[in-house]
Amino acid sequence: MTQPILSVRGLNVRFRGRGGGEVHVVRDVDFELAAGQTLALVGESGSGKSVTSLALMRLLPGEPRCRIGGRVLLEGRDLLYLTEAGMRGVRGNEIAMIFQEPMTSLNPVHRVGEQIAESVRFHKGLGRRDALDRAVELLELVGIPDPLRRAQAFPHEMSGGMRQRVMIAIALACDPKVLIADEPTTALDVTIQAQVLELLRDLQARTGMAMLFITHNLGVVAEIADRVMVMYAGRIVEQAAVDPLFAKPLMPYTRGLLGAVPRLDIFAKEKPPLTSIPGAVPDPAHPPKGCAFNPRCTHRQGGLCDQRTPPLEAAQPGHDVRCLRWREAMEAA
Amino acid sequence: MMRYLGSRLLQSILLLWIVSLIGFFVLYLAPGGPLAQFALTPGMTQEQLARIAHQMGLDRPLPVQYWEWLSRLLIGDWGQSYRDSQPVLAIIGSHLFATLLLMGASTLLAMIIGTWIGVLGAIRRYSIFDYLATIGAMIGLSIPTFWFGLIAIYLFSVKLPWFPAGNMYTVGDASFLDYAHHLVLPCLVLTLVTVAIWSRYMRSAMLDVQGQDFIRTARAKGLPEHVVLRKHAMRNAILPMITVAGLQIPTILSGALVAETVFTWPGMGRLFLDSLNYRDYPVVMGVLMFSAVFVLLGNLLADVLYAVADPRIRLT
Amino acid sequence: MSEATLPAQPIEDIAPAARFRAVRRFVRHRLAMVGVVMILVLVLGSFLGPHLYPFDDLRIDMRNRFQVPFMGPHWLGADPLGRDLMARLMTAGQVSLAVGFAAMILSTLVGTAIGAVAGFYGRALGGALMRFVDAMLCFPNIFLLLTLAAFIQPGVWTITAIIAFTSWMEVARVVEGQFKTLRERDFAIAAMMIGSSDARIIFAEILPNAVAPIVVAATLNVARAILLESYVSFLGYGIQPPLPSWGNMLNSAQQYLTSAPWLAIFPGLAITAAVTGFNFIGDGLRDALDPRLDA
Ligand SMILES: Nc1ncnc2c1ncn2[C@@H]1O[C@H](COP(=O)(O)OP(=O)(O)OP(=O)(O)O)[C@@H](O)[C@H]1O
Ligand code: SF4
Ligand SMILES: [Mg+2]
Repeated sequence: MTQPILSVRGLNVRFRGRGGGEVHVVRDVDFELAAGQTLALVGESGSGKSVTSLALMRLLPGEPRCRIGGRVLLEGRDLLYLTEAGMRGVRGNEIAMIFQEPMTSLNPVHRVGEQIAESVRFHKGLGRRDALDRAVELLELVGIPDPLRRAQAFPHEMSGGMRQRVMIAIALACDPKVLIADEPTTALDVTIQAQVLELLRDLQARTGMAMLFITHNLGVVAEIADRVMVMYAGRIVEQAAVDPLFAKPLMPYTRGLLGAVPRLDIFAKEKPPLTSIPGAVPDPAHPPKGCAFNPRCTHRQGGLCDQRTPPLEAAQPGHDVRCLRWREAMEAA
Repeated sequence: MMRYLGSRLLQSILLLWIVSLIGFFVLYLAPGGPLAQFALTPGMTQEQLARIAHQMGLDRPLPVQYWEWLSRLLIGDWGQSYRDSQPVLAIIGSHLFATLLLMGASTLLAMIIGTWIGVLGAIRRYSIFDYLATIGAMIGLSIPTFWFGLIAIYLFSVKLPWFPAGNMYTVGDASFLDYAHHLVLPCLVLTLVTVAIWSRYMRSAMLDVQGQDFIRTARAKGLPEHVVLRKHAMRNAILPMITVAGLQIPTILSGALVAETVFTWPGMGRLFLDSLNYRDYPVVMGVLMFSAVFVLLGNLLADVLYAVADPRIRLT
Repeated sequence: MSEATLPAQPIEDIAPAARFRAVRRFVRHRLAMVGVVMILVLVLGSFLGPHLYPFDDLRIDMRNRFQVPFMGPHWLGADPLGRDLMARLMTAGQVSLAVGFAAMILSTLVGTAIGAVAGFYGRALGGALMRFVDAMLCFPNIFLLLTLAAFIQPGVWTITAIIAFTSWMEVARVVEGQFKTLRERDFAIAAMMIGSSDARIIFAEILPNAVAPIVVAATLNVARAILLESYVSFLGYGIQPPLPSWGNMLNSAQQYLTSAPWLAIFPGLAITAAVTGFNFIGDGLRDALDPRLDA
């Protein structure tokens, strides 16, 4: 593997409630991301995917309400130790982000051209005119027809797919090294989903940026990712390249996720796969003892899984798993 | 948008009609009704009164009388003052400027101060400042305005002779500064209430906006916090405030009336009270109707402005 | 087990718990408790105070005319006739508080009735009533109030009635909104289907569920009524002397503003305290009764 651009070590996020109790939402997350690579982060709702990505951007609430620990190294610089002003220079410039909800993620009172341009103006010091020209260029790049006219449009005048393209244009405005896409296609129609994915893949090929792609949808993972991280209750529970993971998932949870994917239906808008594992994600305020997955696991062994917290082990080179019984579980399959 | 404005206009006309019905009803509540001025004249006999009543058409059926009254209202014939026989509308017109000056100055001040209190309260939610602002606003809404005016006069006009206690200008001076000098105390008093209301609405509008996704987008672009605040958050939070401003017009008018009475400010409120004291019913009714129409038009204007200011409402 | 298979809980089982939570939230609301204390002090002071306080509110004491507060026998000073200011504040408080309270009851009754009818029947009748409400709200309430007060013989009851007449509209709006939504809810529809009379549905089914916002609006209305009464009386169109009210005490204090400012300061403080108290309570009730907090 090439030298990583982004390297995350022991990332922890804790929220403090108004009552004073602490909720540990992201636990000891480690990963690396190289230029041109796409890493998918998958997991059920509430597993901590969005919080992880927002922590990288330092977009979570401030200190008393939320504590972030660990290291987030962008080309060797620890983002968690940057000043707020220094971090602003990173956001939207070196790391950019697109969100799930294109309908609400754009400011309704500003023209889309302006919303793209302001990022360039701020980071690249371009004048108003040049920044707007750049915005039109970007609109063209993300495949919006008649970009000159569309730059003058307000968000509400565009469809969901178009708005997501605008969001992508905003994210790409300063040629970021890392793009974080938090469920960018979930809110879109199936055909539009495919187009947006295609666009992202194409743009990545052209710019060589690294991508952290968060999703519910394993079909999308197969489409776009090089490597996959599976997250459960704030922890990475399995991590591998796409093919080995799909071919030979080691963690029972991953197996549960994959087992339920109808292979042909990879762009299904609804996400039955992730809800088909019986039971629900644990409440992060009261995680179960031992392996967080044990109350739902078919391979659980009493006295073991509910006592010891499994470490993340390298089952094979480049394939890590957090399960005490991955050998037995694999044999049983 | 034209359709929307059209329907708002129709609604306003309907409301105006109901307002006129209420006004007519109130007019007939007056002791002696429209005859009151003659009933007060010494030496007036019952027969004379009856004759005048007949001349004025007061013995005709109520709907007919209402129709006459309304049509006169519509063509701008609002009757004449008992005091000096001037047309009511002209008298109101000559007092309008003072009231608009007072309301305008205080509203502007309240918007500026209230916006900042509200915004600060929202971004430092649950801070000491927010808490004090909340309590302060509630007390501000609870202090009787006229009493606050009296205290202000006592402090800043009697004890410390900084500001004049009444009138709009000094005879013989009437420069801009002179007006401003006279404006300070009444404006301060009127602003107390409006700031309290405005800051509360602004705070909740900001809290609403701050939780929105596009604010997160703006931060994710790496924009400095003041740009996020002004260009993205406040710009959106101010929009609904246009409607709030429209809805506050009756409160501000009431407040202006109070301030004018305490500071002998020569506006519509002062005119209204003087006319009440003289039992000058045509003027009283005139001011009452005028203020209702003013409120109605103000609301309509606020709606139009909102439609213009919000790009989501299309200008087609 | 899915939600749908749970037996529908009868309303009586839920209500006491929710009510208990609301009471607890109210008791824990600091401002509301401050308000309760303020109002208790004012009410007890006004109605019991005169029995304990050594001075009579009507006794003229020319030797102590314009006595400065805390500088003589009269605690809060004396007026131009040497009458005790504290004693007068108490008597005036009885009138002002009673008028405020009575006006609140009247305006809440009227507002609830009109709002209920408008919300329950909807359509033309409801629309017409609500347009009437809108039109009433076009009149700045002090203008309307003063016009009526000038036309009608002033007295305690007429003032109360006039204040109520100019402040029932907010209650009506709140109640109409509640009725409009509650009318569509299961329990109301069920009652309609078994053929209950309209009156029964309104009073027994819907009204109890709309009580919370009515209580909030009513509390804020007391505050407003006290404020309105004080202003009208201050201008001389409200409660007429010799019956004292906090407002008309300010009227007579106005001419002595420079020489005896305490005559203006204390009644104004009393009004402010009463209005603030009710506003605090209203705010606390709004927070405590907010059903969204009852998840
Ligand atoms: N600001 C916050 N304060 C407190 N808790 C939070 C906050 N934001 C998120 N959480 C909690 O963190 C946990 C993880 O949330 P997160 O949004 O990361 O899940 P997710 O994996 O992105 O789910 P989804 O697929 O639904 O987006 C949840 O239990 C959530 O309640
Ligand atoms: S550790 Fe035990 S409970 Fe957890 S996934 Fe492995 S087998 Fe299941
Ligand atoms: Mg998420």
